[in-house]
Amino acid sequence: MHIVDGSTFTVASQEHVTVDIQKTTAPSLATVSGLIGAAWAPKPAPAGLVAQGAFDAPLAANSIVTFTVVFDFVPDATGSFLPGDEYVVTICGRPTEPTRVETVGPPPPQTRTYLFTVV
Amino acid sequence: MRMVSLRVALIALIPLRACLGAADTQPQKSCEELQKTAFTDEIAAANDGRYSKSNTGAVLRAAIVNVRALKKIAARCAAEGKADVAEQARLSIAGAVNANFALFLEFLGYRQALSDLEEKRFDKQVGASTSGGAGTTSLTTKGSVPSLLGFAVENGAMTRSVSGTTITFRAVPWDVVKALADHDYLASGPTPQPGTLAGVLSQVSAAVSVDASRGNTAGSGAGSTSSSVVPGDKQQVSGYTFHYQILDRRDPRDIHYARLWNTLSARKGLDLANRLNQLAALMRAGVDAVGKPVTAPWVPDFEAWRKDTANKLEAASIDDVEKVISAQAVTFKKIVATYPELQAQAKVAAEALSEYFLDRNTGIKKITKAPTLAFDYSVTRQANTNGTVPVAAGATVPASLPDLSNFKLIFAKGFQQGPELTANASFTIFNSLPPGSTAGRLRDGQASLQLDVPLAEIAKTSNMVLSFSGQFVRLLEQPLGAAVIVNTKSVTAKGNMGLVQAKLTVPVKGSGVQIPISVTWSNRTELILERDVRANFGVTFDLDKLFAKP
Repeated sequence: MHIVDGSTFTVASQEHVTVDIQKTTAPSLATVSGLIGAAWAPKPAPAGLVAQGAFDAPLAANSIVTFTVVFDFVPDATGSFLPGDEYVVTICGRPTEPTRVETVGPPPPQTRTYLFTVV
Repeated sequence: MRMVSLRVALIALIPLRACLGAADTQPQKSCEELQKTAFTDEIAAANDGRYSKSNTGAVLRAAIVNVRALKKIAARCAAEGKADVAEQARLSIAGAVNANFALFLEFLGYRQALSDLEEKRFDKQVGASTSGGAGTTSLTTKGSVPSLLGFAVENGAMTRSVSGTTITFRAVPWDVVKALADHDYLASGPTPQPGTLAGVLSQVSAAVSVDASRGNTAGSGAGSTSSSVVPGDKQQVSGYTFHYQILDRRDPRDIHYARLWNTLSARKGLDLANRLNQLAALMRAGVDAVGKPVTAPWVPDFEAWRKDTANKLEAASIDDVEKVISAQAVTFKKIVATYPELQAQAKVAAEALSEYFLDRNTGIKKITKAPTLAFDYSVTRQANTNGTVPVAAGATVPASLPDLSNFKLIFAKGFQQGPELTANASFTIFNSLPPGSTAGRLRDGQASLQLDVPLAEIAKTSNMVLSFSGQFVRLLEQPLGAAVIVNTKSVTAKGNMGLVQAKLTVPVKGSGVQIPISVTWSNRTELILERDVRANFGVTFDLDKLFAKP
C-alpha cells in the first residue's frame, strides 16, 4: 500500500488491507460503512474502544475500493468534549510498506472517506 | 408581603478576564501535549470567539478546528524532530476538509445546524446550600454540584441584617484526588463504575462556607462596609455541607447509555456512513453503490478541487485556515450545483445526516433532562468556633447560640423544552439546647420549589436563566435557638414563613462565571432594618468549565 494523500491509497492486486479504529475515551461512536468495490472480512465492529476490520483488494487493475467512517463524539452534560478524546485510525497493507495513522478530533460532524485504487 | 432584598451581582470581571487572557502567554505546548489537547484547545478558542464567528465559519467549524489543530501538531512535532508524527498530521490536514463530506452537506444548506449544548446546564449548585448561611442567593438547593471544585462568593443576607459575605468552597474529594494524581482531570473520563467504592466516593461532595463578616480580624466585622477579605480566620467558618448524589445520570458518556449509542451507530449511523460512501464513490471515482462505473463528468472537477484544497491548506497560515476552507466550500458548492446527479445523491446523504443528528441530539437532550435525587446534610455555625457569637450592629444576643443541622432531599427534573423544576424538602434541628431550655430539638420543617427557565441566547453570552422559587418554612421553635434582639425587635416568633424569589442568572460565556440578580419577598422581615431595596455584589464561579479549557 502506498499513500497518495491523506485519504487516497494505491494497493496491489489482492493486497490484504487492515483497518483499526481506536478511541481514546469512552464511549466510542465510530460507524464504518460497507465497502464499495470489495468485501469486509471482517467488518470493523466496535468492541469497547476498538474496531478492527480488513479486506482484500480486488484482482483487476484500476479497481476502486472506498469506505467511509462517521466519527461521533459524545459530549458531557455541559456540551464539552474531553481533552484527548480522539479517534486514531490505522490503515496498513503489506507490513513493510507505509502505514497511515490518522487522528480525528472533535467536534462532530467528522467523517472521512478513504479510497483505494488497485495498481 | 414586603420586599426583603434586591440582590444584584455586578462583578468585577476585569481581573478574571485578565486571568483568562493569561492563558495566551503560557509556554508553548510540546508535541505530546498538543496531540492530547490541540482539538479541545481549538474548540475553546472558537467558543471564545477567536475565530469561526461568521455563519459560514460556524457551519464549517468542525473542519476549521481539526485543520488548525493538525497544523499546530505538525509544526510542533516537526520542530521537535518527530518526523513521523508530523508527517501523519500533515497528511490529515487536507482530509479534514476534502474527505469530510458531511461538512459540505451542512454548508449546502441541506440540513439544519447542529444544536449545541455548551454551557446550557443550569442545574448545578455552586453557592452555599446551608439554610442559615449569610449570603446565599438561592431559596432552593440544586441537585448537582460541580464535579471538581466550585467557588462561590455571594454577598448579602437573607435572614440577617448584617452585610455579610459568604464564600463557599465545594469539592468532590474523589475528583480532586484524581486531578492531583492524573494532572489531567478531564482525560480520565466520566464517573467510575457504579457499585464500586470509587463509584460511591465520586458521588460525595463537601463544602465549607466562610463568612468574611465574622471573626477577629479588624475591618471585617459584622456591619462593616470594607471589602470582603478572607484572612483565613477559623472563626469565619460559618457552615459546612456534605452532599450525596443518590441519582444523577445526566452525563451522556455514562456507561448506562452505551446501548443507546450502539443502537444509534448500528441503525442511523450505518445508513449515514453508507450514504456518504455512495456520494464519495460517485464524486471521486465515478462509480455507483455497487462499484459499477457510471458517466461522471464531474470527477476531474472534483479531483482538481481536492488537490487545490490540499495545496491551499498546506500553504495557509493558521489564521488563514478559516478563509481558505470557506472559499473552498463555495467552490465545492458550485461543482455540485453544476450536476443534478450529484445534487440528488447529496440530498439523500443529507437526509441520512439529519436523521442521525436528530436522534443523537434528542438522545442527548433527554439524558441531560433526566431526574436527579440528592441528599444534603449541612451544619450552620451560629457561633464562632471559640463559642463567641458574631454580633451585628443593633443586635443583642445571648452568650451562646446553638448550631443548626439541616437534612435535605433534593429532586430535579428537566423538561424537553428547556425548563427545569427543582424541589427541596428538609428539616432542621438544634445541635444543642441551652441549659434549662424547655424548647424542642426540632427547629423547623421546610419545603421549596424552583422553576428555571432558560432565555434565548444573546450574542457573546450563554443562556441566561430566569428562575422563580417559593419556600415555606414552619418554625416550631424560636429561629435562632434563643431570644435575640435585632434592631430593637425580638426575634423569637414561631409560626409560618413564606418567601418568594425571582432571579436572573447571567453566565459569562467561556469564563465559568455566573452573575445572579434576584429579588425576594417575604411575609416576615424582622431581621431587616431597612424597608428599602439593597444592592449587593457577588460572583458564582464554576471551575469545571475553566478546567475544561487549555
